[in-house]
Formats: sequence, C-alpha cells, structure tokens
Amino acid sequence: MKKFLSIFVVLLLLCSVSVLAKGGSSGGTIVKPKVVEADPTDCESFATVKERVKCRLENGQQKETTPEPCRQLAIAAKCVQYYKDTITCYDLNGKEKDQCFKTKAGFETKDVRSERARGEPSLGAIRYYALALLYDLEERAEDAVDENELTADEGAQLISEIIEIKVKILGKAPVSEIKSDVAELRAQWPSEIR
Amino acid sequence: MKVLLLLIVGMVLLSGCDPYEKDGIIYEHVIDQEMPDLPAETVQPDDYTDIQTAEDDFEALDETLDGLE
Repeated sequence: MKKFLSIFVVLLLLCSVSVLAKGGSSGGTIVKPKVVEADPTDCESFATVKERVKCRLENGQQKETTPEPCRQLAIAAKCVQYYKDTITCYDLNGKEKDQCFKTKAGFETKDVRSERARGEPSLGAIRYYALALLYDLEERAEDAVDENELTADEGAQLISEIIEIKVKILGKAPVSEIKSDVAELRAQWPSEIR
Repeated sequence: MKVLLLLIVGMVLLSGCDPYEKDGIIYEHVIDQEMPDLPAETVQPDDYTDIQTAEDDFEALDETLDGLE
C-alpha cells in the first residue's frame, strides 16, 4: 500500500512540474522565460501593439500582463480568464485541440453550425472560439520567429494584425469587416509557416 | 487491497460474459463474437475540426465567422 502511495505521489509531482505555462507575444499569463540580460526591456513601455509584440518576441515576456485584445474591453476579466483557460489547449493537436478550444469557449455542441442553432446565447462562445483559432495562428508565427523563419519585425507585423482582428471580434465589429481582414491576413500568410 | 483487486478483475471478466442488448439485438459472449457493423444512421459523426496547420485554422475561422453572421 505504501509503495502504491509513494508511486502515486511521485507521478503526481512529475505531472505537476511538466505543465508548462504558455508563452505569448500578445501578453497574458506566461511564461516560458527566455534568457535575458540583467536589465530587460520593459515591453509595456512601448506605445504601439506592434512595438510591444516585437519586444516580447525578442526578449520574452517578463511578467504577467493583460492580453492585448482584452485591454480594449471595458470589463477584461472574462477575456483574461479565457486566455488562461485555453493555455493547455495549445499543447494539443488535431481534433483534441479543437475540442479543447470549443469546450473552454463554452460550446454545447461539436460544430459551429449546430452551436449557432442554439440561438443568441451561443454567439459569445463562437466569438471566443474564433479568438482561440487566431491565437493558434499567433503561436505559429511566434514559433516561426523562434526558428528564424521570420524576423521579429515580420512576426510582430503578423501578430499585431491578428490582435487587431481579435479586438474587432470582441468589439462586435461587422462580420463582413472581420472577414475581409481575415482574408487579407490569409493572403499574406507566409507559406513556410504551417 | 487484495479483495478490491480481485473484485475489479472479477467485474472485468464478468462484464465480457454478460449478455446485453443493443439496437434490439441480444449479444451474448461478446468476447467470442465478432461485432457486427452498426447501422449507418446510428454512427455519430465526429464533428470536431482536425487542426494541424495554419490552413486548418483559417478554414475553421471562415466557418466560425459564417456562424457569427
């Protein structure tokens, strides 16, 4: 019995330390810290989103901040919480990742069409799901910068455009406008980032 | 502890022998039988999106934005 208990405790400890917090150039909870100089740049001191993102790409995120898109909201708490909740999803792949995004967003069904059929209350969940998909693209851009497939400036440009789309989604901008922005982003998406 | 283990093993073994009914068909000794294919209408489609690449993200995003309209 003691053996079982000790094995269980060891496994529990291993599991708890292997949960890595997700790094993010658009702010939020973190951190896969990068090795930085003693006096790291305060990315929050930059005026524009692109500059802050570029700073985080180059220096890593030093402290927990409010995710960029949530900053535009009058009440950011739910938005911030969603970012925290979805962190674990980004380590998944395929259908598991999609399921995780949808569950955390509050989906009661498996696909957007069925979810929409639930009526007005589903709109919030669909918006949050869209944010997760955009964050996934952001992750891909960050990885491309880490692997030197993109410069920090190119990565920051893409990510700041993604953030702009997220802000529009949260701000309930006309869908036609959001679609047009997504189409533009897709057209300029570098083919080497998969 | 041993009793608990024996109970679990026993339940697992017994569950394979129990007859059960599914779709109006009574299955006995499931372990020895080849399971027939389920009728097409009872198969639940797996509607989650297979997200592997950026292209998949964009596809899902398009569908999602359609849902917001």
